[in-house]
Amino acid sequence: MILGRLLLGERRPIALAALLAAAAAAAAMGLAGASAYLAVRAAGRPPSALALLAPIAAVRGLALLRAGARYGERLAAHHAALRLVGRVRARALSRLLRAPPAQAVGRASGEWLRRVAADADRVGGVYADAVAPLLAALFAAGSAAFALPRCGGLAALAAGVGLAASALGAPALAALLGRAAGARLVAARGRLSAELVTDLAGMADLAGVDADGAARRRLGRLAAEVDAHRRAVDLAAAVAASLAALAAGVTAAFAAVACARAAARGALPADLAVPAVFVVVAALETARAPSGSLAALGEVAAAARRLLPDPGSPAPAPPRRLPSGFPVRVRDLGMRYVPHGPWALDGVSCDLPEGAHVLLIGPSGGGKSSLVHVLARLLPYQRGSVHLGGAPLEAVPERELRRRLAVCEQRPYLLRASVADNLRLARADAGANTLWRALEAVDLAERVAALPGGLAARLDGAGTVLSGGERRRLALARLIVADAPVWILDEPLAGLDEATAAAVAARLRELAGGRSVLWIAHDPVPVWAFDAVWRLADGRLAGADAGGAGAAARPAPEPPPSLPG
Amino acid sequence: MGELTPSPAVASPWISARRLAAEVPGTRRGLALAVALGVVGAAATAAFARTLAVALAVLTAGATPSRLAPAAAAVAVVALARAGADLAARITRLRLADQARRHLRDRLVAHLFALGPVGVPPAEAAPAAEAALEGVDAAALLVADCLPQAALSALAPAVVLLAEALTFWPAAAVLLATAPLVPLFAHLVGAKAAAQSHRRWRELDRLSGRFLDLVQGLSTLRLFPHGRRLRLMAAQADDRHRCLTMGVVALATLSSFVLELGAAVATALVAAAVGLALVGGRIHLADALTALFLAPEFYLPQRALGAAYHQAADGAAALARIDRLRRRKPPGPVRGSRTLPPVAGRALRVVDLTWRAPAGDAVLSDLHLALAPGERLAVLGPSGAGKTTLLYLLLGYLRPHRGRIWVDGVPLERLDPVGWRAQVALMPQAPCLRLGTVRDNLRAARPDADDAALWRALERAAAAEFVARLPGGLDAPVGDRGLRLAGGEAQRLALARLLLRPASLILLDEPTEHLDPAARRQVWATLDAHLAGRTVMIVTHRPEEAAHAHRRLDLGAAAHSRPQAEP
Repeated sequence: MILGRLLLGERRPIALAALLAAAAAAAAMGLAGASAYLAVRAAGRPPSALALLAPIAAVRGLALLRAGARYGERLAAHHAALRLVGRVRARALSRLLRAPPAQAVGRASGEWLRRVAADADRVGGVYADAVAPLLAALFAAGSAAFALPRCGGLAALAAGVGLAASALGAPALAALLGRAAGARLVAARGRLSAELVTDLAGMADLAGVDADGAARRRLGRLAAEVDAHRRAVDLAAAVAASLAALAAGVTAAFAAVACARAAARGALPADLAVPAVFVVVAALETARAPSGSLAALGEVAAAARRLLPDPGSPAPAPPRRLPSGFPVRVRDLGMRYVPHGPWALDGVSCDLPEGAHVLLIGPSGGGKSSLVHVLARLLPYQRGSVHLGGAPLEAVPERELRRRLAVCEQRPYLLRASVADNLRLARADAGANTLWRALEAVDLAERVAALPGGLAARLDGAGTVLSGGERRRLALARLIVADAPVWILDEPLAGLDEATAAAVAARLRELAGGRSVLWIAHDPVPVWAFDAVWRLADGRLAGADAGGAGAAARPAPEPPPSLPG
Repeated sequence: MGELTPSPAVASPWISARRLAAEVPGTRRGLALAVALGVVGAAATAAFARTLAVALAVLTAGATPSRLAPAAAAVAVVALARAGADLAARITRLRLADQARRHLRDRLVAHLFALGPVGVPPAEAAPAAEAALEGVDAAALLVADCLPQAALSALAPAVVLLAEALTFWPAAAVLLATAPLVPLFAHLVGAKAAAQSHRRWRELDRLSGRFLDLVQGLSTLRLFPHGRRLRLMAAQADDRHRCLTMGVVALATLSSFVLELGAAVATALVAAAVGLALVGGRIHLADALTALFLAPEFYLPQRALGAAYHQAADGAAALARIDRLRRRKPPGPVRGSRTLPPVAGRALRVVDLTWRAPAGDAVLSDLHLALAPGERLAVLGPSGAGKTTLLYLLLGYLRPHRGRIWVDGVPLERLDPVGWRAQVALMPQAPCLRLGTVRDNLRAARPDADDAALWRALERAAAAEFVARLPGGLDAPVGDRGLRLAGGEAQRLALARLLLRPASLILLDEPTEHLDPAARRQVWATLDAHLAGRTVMIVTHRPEEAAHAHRRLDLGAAAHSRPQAEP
């Protein structure tokens, strides 16, 4: 189903490739027939060699046509296959980007990577590997079978059956045998990949735990299971291909008998009987090509189902509204991770007026990160309302939201790219000076300047190794580059030593003038004096009386917020 | 963009394939069998052409179907033999692939675990696993498909040529004359294709890095106005990759076009030669038809080789990726075999320890340190001072450039690394929880622990309360890397896991960083009792946490002088 829809989406390049494949098959059959006809005519000792000129010309012309059609077909097939891969990958990626984070991270990241990279290749390759040969086979078998009934008799019927068995039966058998094993293979490989990634990622945590090798043995058992399924799929392909070869050989024998009978009866001109057998043999060569490759179809279909499940109807997007200013207003907010589950946020109401600086504290698990995720529109909420600049949060266009709201997460991620690329994620057009100033602010400029390549130094396993605290400060620099009017900082100083923490806090304080800041922390924040302290425990907020976060305590340097409504 | 880690050149696919065949034991025999079966198949094909031609000659002579029957039966029997040889060859190749896959994967996985968390940092876990699974699958085909195909592309045409020569030698002469042109031209095109192919693999490398970023950094990327742009960047990379691949394909198929053309022209020439010989009455029709049937078979194996080249290039690139991982050496003391008797706490002595980052800066220099059994040391210092490095040196995941570490009077490098690490419990800065339930995570530390023991450990880590509130309790899923839990919850769960381990040296890297002050006090109240008697090293930047230790070591300002553990 999914595969069918995918193929339909690329029908034009696929139709072109199929047309060329059919032309190549026709040319191959014609070439075989023409050369046989040439031989038979020659054996009849024609009075002059001139009688052979036409078949010789036909042989040459068909030979060139076959070569050209095969070349074109191969290019077209690759083109179609690569387009399919790109399409599958783009759809998988946008699905991943749209999924709420809780759902996306429910799967191991290694498992996702495998899907986006390898499974997309596999699904996209289905055309070149299975569909194209099958189309050509059907064409060849069909056109040969069209000619055979004219010969009449049991032998012709048997030859027709043989052709069908070779072109349709063997692939169908392969698909049937490979189907269940393929689905099991995909599932087992997913499990193995997830286990292996988890075990590798947790090597530091569990160093020496597996001294008796139990976990490694479990991995070994999973791998053996994957191997067994893979062998079953491969064996199905091998058996189907060999059966197709056998059917082709036997069919050739029956075709010979059928043509002999037809010639004896006079139903077929005598000098066409041998060329007819040649045509059937050539058709069989094309017809048996796809036999084994369809064994992989079950595997590919299973991969496609996991990669691109049927899209449900998307929720209707609310009308877009541009926020004016950047006050944040939350009323009676209720959020839970599972339907009917406990509320992670329960009736939270608060205001973060423009320019207000608020400290949010509370025990871990109390709902602080949940609130951050709702405000950043990473998680949906079920009750109440959130407004940014007077516009409902869900109505704010994505770009506008990200421009106004910069978040430094508790566990920020750095790209496998250069320092500059990582910083420019926040603002694509930021100049080198801006980047250096941001690095200066987090006390990282000297360190980056000393890296080979400076801003261009790459942050990946083999390249630069930054310590935990340095990575966190780089994430803070990224926030500074974003230059957004609202900052949400989730434990930004965690892991920094006292002196660095104080220095960074002071620079952040300077840069925070005029911005709204929601700072989440467990410890007293050096240098900062907050307008209000909110406490979030068990999903309930204390200290934030609706309508005033103490913004009055500090005159906002910018014009006072104008809250519509 | 500064390319610090250019992809190593991908060796010629055939060289990679031969190297792999030499590495995997038992491959040579399997290869010989596969090639021998392929030759038998080629001979069967020649026999098939012969029997079919004889049958057709009988047919044109105006034979009755009853006289044709034996000839037709011979065709069927030869077809059966051909199919049998085909199946046997396929199964042999299938077993070759299976063998190579198992060998490569088992070795690579063992190597990855030997490299440890320094050689394979958590962020690299997914690509490393991908190399060990998908990469190994692609590389295994090098020996299973590409090598037999390469051998057969020379041997099978030889068999066909011999059959042709026995049937009608002028046809064989035509085939022989056109044969060398094809590999020559294919080689010229192939050299160009290899250079292009290399560019394509670099692009593919970059592409997979982008995918990895998209998948792993998803929640961060969504927070930025340009996060969505990354998807576009991936799409562009995909497009670039497609263009490059099409370039390679166009060149590669150009060589197969030449092959096709050669085959077509040769077939036409053979047909003409056969026709003229027939007119002259120099050969029988059966021989003429055999010659015609055989002509295209001569080129068939070379055409298959063209297809195999693509697969081989993929396999070689995958093997290069695997080799890059295999070249990383396990840094720790790998030669040791001594084990230590179980005790409550270890004595540690660190003498003159120096370790430099790959870039050359000394991260730790001339560190001296002595810890008595049961002693507790707080390690302080600014970020980048080498606190975490010291822990990895103690675990043997890094090898010091100078100096030595002694454990209970035994040099660390003399110890069996697995046995030693079983005595040490480390809580890393960013603990990694596994995909699964709370129970799965705790049991990973001690598989035989019962629920009561798990709850006790959770109690000690101040985690029992929140786990009890999770839907499902011990059976609640924690998500990939614990992302379903709040930061402080994940940390306390990791702490509970650590407490389940019977270790005599405990290394804590910022153990209470994400906890609120109340939880921190609660954790330390129970932790103090649990740590009694064991040797403990706590990396921290909190003075109040350092107060739980007996002594403190400041790696900070003294990074370039000689830091001393002060009593």
